[in-house]
Amino acid sequence: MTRLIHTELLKLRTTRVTYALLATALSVTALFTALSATVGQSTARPIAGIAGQAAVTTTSGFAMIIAALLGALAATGEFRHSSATLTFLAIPDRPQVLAAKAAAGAAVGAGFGLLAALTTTAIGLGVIVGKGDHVRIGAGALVGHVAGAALGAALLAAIGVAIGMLVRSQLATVIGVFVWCLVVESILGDLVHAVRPYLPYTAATTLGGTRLGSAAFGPGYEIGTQPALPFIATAALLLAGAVAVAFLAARTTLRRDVT
Amino acid sequence: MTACIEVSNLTKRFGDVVAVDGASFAVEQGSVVGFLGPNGAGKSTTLRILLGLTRATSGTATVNGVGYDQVARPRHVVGAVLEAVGAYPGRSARNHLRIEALAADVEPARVDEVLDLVGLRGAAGRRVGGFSLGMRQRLNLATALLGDPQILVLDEPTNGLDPEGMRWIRRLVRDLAAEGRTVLISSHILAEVSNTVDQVIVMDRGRVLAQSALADLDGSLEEVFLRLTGGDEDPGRDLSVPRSQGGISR
Repeated sequence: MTRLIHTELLKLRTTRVTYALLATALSVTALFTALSATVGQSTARPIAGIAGQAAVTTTSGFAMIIAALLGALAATGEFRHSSATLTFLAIPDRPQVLAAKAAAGAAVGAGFGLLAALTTTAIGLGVIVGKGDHVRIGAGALVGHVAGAALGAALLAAIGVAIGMLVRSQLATVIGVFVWCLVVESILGDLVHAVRPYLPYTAATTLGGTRLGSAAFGPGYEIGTQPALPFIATAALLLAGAVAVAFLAARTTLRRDVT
Repeated sequence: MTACIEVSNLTKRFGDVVAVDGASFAVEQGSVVGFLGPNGAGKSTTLRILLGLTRATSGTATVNGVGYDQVARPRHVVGAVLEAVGAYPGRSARNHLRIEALAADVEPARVDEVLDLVGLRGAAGRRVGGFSLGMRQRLNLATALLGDPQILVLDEPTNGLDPEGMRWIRRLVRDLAAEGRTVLISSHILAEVSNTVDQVIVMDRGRVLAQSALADLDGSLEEVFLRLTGGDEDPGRDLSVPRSQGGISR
């Protein structure tokens, strides 16, 4: 299995789209953090307070979507470029390929989450200090947010791989990932607050320290004071989601003929 | 001689279409076998079932007595060049082979060896997306040879190639066969294989019509092939009737 994971990591390292996605994730994270820390400041949570400072140092949600996209592209690219044939000729055990791909996607996804979290933390702290405010958020909390963002991105990347293997179509998977994260979760979370902690993208962002729902996109989204699930429960939920989709893929589309 | 490839009563249906219809044949170790048939005969489907990429509706196809998915380190046993196989276009040929070598548990040094073997060393750093059809086919062959396998399965390896590319592949197949490897090469172009193989399997409309040593054919390969498949003279004939003409052993 270690060799297979190294193979999948080598694939990701030698694919230009990996670097393009990383650049996109970091630049959008930097932009969102800068906007959030300046023009987007809320009177309810001023940047001088702990809540405001936590908000501007945890804008890593978009990078998590990109991590999910990375996983989806790693899986669907095999079918789009017909390289799945070579992969399965070398490793006929298809579920093992899926597991290795998910592990490699998670490792690179964790890197995306880590770098995005460091970016938002650095820019957020820079703005706080630049405005002459005291840094009130503790170092322990900041480190926890960075580690949580890495974990959240890793788990979303693994889910992306599993969905990609299940759906196979790159276009459908990419559109699906974006629409789900940017639209469906916003609408569902707004309509039924009770499901909000269980929505994968929303839940993953809470691992990185984002308040439940505040990483949502879309107009009229109301952020309440609803608590997120505990950290461990959220991580377990996302892991279970990845395993469930991977299992479904292994039992269905992964068994299909490779053409 | 021991059969290293055995196909037995193999059937594959795609909905109402029967692509392979009870096909049976065996390929002996060290032989060079032409797998012949018109386009749509079921050759590629048969080979893809043999290699575990397509599931058979019924019947079996084995390599060294087991299904492909049971072959340990399969790239060291079978090297395959199939149609519609791709590589990530933005990746260099060398990186493509590094990945395939790692997946197949092959020493990295082998990458340069196969690049030399197929004459792609000079283009190793170029992106595969910019490769000509002939270069892609050379890369496919390099990938197949990574594990230094004793069995080679080549599905229409000269499709779309210019005469120089076809000649190069013919020469390579002859060299590989001379090394004692088993080669199963499918084609719908008879001239392509007639100087290369020592046995032929003829398939049409999903059925294996005959298997014979080339030397035992009653007539030229083209004559026997057209006699078996009906050519253009009898396109609507019923192939369910076993044929015995042509000095072909069944």
